[in-house]
Amino acid sequence: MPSEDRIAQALEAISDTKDFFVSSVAMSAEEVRGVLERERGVNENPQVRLAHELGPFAAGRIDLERLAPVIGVNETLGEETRRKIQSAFEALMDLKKAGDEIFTAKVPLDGYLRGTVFAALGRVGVAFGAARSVEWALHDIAPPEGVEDALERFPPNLWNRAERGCSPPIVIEVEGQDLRAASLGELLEGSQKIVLVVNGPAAPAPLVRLITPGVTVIQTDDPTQLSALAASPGPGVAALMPEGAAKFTHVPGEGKGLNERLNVEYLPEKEPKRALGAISAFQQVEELRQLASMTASVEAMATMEVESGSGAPPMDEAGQLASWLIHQANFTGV
Amino acid sequence: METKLPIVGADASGGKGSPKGRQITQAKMSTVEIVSDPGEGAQKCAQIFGAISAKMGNGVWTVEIIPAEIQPPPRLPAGASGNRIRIGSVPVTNWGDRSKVVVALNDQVLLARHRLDALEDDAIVLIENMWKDHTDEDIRQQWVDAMEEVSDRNYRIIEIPMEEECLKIVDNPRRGKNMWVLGLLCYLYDRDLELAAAQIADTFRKKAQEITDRNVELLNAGFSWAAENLGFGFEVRPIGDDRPHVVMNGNEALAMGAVASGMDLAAMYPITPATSVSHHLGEEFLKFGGLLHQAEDEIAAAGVAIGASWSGKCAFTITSGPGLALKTEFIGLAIMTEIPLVVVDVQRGGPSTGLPTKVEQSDLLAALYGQPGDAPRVVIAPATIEECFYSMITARKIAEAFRTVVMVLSDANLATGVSPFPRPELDPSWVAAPPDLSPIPEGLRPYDWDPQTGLSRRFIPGSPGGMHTLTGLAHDEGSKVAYDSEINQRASAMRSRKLAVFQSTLKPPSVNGPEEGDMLVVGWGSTKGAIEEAVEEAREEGLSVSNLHLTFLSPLEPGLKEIFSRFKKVVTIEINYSDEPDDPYITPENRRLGQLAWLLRAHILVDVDCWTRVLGEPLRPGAILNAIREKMPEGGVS
Repeated sequence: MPSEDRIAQALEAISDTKDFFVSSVAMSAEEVRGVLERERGVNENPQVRLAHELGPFAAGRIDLERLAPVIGVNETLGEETRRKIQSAFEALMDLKKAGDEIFTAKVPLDGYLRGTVFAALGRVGVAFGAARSVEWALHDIAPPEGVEDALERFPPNLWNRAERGCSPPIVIEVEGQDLRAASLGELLEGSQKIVLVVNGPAAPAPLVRLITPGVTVIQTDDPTQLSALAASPGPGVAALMPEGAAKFTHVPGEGKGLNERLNVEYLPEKEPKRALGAISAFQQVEELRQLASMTASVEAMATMEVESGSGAPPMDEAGQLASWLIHQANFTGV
Repeated sequence: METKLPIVGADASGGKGSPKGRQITQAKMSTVEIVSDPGEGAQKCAQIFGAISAKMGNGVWTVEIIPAEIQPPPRLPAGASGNRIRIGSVPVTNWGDRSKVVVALNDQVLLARHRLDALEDDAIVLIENMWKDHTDEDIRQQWVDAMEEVSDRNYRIIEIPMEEECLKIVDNPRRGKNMWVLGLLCYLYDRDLELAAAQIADTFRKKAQEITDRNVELLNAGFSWAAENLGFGFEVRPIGDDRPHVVMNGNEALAMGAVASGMDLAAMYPITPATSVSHHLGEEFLKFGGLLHQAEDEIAAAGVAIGASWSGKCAFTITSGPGLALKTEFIGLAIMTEIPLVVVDVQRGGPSTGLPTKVEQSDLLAALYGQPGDAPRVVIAPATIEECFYSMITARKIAEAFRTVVMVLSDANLATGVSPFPRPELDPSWVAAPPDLSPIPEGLRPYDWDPQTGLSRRFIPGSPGGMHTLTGLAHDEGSKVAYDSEINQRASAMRSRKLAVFQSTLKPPSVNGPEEGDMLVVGWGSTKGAIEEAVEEAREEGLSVSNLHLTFLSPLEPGLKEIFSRFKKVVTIEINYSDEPDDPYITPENRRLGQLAWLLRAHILVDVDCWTRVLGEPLRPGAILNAIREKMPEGGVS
């Protein structure tokens, strides 16, 4: 299948998440427009602004001349503040109008996957940068260290927890030889969804290194399987692989035990013997063996379940405490 | 058993194959009901009929006829389910008195409407005839008994072979009869069939195309049958208002109003009749950046909304009477901590679980005073479906500007009634500015009340220099727990002062009719349309009566004492309980009054009388008119 078609399928699979992000951008743009409109209104007449804010229900019922001074409708924005807010508004409107292309990127041949993803997220993350710029401008706060131009790029390392919670999904086209998936680990936070459309020869199980209890990981050649990624509330990554690669899904919502979360549909028997670009044969074999080992564990656990009639071995109190501490420490990306 | 029944077969007065000889009755208003067992789709049929009537430019008001049980046994009067639709060539503001036309899918649901005096004496009854010759002898006897019972009226009963006709198209007419009836009604009221088909397509848009096709086929079949067999019809001309309109019920209007006002979060727990606010939000809120949260219970829903609001979001919670009771403690917290909160209460009959699907206005005093301790808050009551939309914008602004709780009192009548109103022109100013996160000036505290107004700056978590402890305990200006004797007095005064300040910005309400006279009728909420219709009719009869409708109930709108002084008598009309003055043991001293009457007497010191009913249905203009006649002071006829 041509890569364009697979990109379209990937975008379709994450359309809900994408639409949610775009609607948030649209809402933010409207809020910022409201700030600008209000300022225009208040310059003309504070009561006019108040009348607009209260809406028609208040018309004829509330005396605006009395109310305006009580709740302090007198502040106006300075010229510089207004200019900054206007720029942020335009950035949001540009994002709102932009099509699917802002959610896609291509890794150049021999390029760096993480760098491409980081840059793409920085581009679409301008939505967060613009919203923050409005706050900084309104309250005369200097942008924090590390922010050069929040309306040009606002990469994920600057996002706060709430922003990571509604992070934009991204579809990345990448050659198999450049698919060094482990580098994406630190980006898989909040609700970040990454779909990789892989072209050309690829390692058999490159995504296996990303399997951790809270992250959805899907490696498949069937676009319909991407729906599990979209349905997952947490972070996730999926790769649409060329034929011959391993096929598996790791969905945290399916259960606590690895045997519940991991479903290996196809495991290649033949181990790679040749390097693929900078990815050594040893590394490829290592990944494949890791998946095979996980598969064996899953099968063993399933057998135990049948024999004992129970699921994953129950965790004792010390285990639960350790698990909680690890979760609290948030080692993601370390 | 044979009875002499006013039954005719398919009406032939206009001649078969009319419309040539069709008798058309022109009407300024016409009221039609569709009633069935639950699950037969009478409500869907009526909703579509109401929607296409509105789209054709008629005034429309619909009221759902809902059984108290979710799935009562079939063929029971108590299980009657359906809708009354009043359409007019003028704006329609209420459901009227009685219906001119009723389509009944069985004899028992017809009985239900008959016993409630819901039909005009000469109503046209279009009834499914399959029960008359049913194989079950009991059912045949019920039919006979029902016809006997309704024979005390001069109904024109027309038997319709709905089952037989629908079987030509579908295997199970229970799932399709409603669209066949819709076609029949479209013929009777000369509705645009293409519009009806489009509305059906919209209604079933999430289902397979063949469902829509089948329903349109039934629609056309019903229309054709009526054209062949019914020799009469009605003409209700459009209003002639060219402005674009929207058609929705009150709950949808509340939801859309919340979206338009830029609210960020709605937290709720399902409760009839408020739940559908969240259904509409569920479809639209997310698209506009909002979040709908179904909490584990009513209390948690209030807590989530308060938490979101504290963190700088604009939040509201939705409930009905029993849920309001559960939220009591948290509403007190919002008032004590001065966290803005909008609470929507879609009132139903009560107390306790009461009448979940029926209308009442019995939460007024609970909304005003239902808190231990002194807990002043703003209470507003939209009177129309259009006002449901706009009230949310005003509620948000007041809640945030005054750091207080604003309660929006709707009711089951507004919630499920459908009416058109001019399409709102969205104003970006309705969406409030982002919360003020600027650094807190040195020394400013979270409750540094302005001694004049009681207002203070809202501290949003994250504002530099704004760190403080939030507490529902008595606290000082710095939000520190304080039991100092002076502090509680001062803090209570400041929370109360905000209401006085807000009241000082309200305008006196306007009087509908002459500014002085024998009687002033005072109402609030959804009764406005029915009261105005009754009062205008009373004036046409020569009675000296005006009316006034209150929107702000806490604080009360100003100038009431002066307005009341211009009338010999003031009477509230409400859908809540009051003792009848002539009932056993009832004296002027112990008589319990309508809730607004209590409120007005306490605030205005005027001897306000009341007329109230809790019949589980909206007030009828005719009943209000009778009450006005009875309560007119001596010499009331001018």
